[in-house]
Amino acid sequence: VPATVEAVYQRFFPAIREKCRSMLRDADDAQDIAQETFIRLWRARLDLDDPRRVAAWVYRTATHLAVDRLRRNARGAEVRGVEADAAVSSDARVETRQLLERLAATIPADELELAFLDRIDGLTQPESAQVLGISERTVRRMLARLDERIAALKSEVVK
Amino acid sequence: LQLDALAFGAQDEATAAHAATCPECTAHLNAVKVQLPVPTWVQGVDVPRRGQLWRLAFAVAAMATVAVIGFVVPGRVPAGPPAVTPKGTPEVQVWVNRSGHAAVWDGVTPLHPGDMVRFDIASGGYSHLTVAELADGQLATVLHSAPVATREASPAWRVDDVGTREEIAVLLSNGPLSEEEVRAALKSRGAIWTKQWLFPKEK
Repeated sequence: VPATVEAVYQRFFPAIREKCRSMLRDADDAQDIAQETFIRLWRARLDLDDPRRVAAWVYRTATHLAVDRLRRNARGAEVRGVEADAAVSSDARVETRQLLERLAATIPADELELAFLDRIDGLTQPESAQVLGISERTVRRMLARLDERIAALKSEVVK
Repeated sequence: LQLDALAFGAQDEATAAHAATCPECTAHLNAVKVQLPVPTWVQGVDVPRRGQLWRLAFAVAAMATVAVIGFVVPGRVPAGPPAVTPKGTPEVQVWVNRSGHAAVWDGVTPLHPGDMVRFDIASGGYSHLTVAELADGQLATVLHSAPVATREASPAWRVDDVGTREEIAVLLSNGPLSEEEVRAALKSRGAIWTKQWLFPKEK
């Protein structure tokens, strides 16, 4: 029996929404990206009985869309500084997210996608490699470059 | 990722056992297993549509005449890759129609929202054409699947304003392909001819 769109929504949307909320601090952006991810999931006609594959697809698609949104936002308006939201939460993920927002306009999209998977979602390097369809060696190289960028950004903030 | 796969129904005893004793994982599972009321926009999702980022531009019948006149009439084909190829060697040209001006895509120029894109196919003896939208190299949606003549123009798709790139694959085979066969062909071509394009987009 084919799944109805309502059933698929009930089953998958809460996780998609959580994933998007973890990446995007703006609630409207997060909801938009979650909806777009869900719509793509429905229309992609994946085998929904393969939960691991669906999860990887959701991570890849939601991250890709969120990075697109962040980069567009970063080009259109000045992103708030790292220190501006420091009082909101001491959660390390929030700080990391803010750093990534600041880097959004200047680093390649694929590197930013990996950054979210590794630093926000907490994926292992093999998982990130699987989701992004790249080798673990490439993941390690990109993360090393990301660390350099973050260190440089932090030193700028201190100055 | 493992937690979400678990929430989606994966059989994973190790992750389930860990989650049962980890407050953070338990909280995440609780958050993603909530029963949400189904909002009205979900109903609109269930409308068949061929493509996510790309929109089938016009009814195929209405466009067929334009396609023949605008894209494949001999003598109107400008310089570009050879339009006629030896039998057994498929060739595909990408045509972009911007504001009424059609030209072979140069492989570099970003697409704009509103551009119309189609593929001019020399099938090289294959009998079936599949056009698919990809996401990071993986199949996202089959946009078009139909028998193909020796020389044929695909339907046209209108570029929308979502995202910064489009990934499209053209597959030629000797019969219709299931989605699994498309996925397999994208990984390892075998008897199926495939070609992929990554189109940059700008607003």
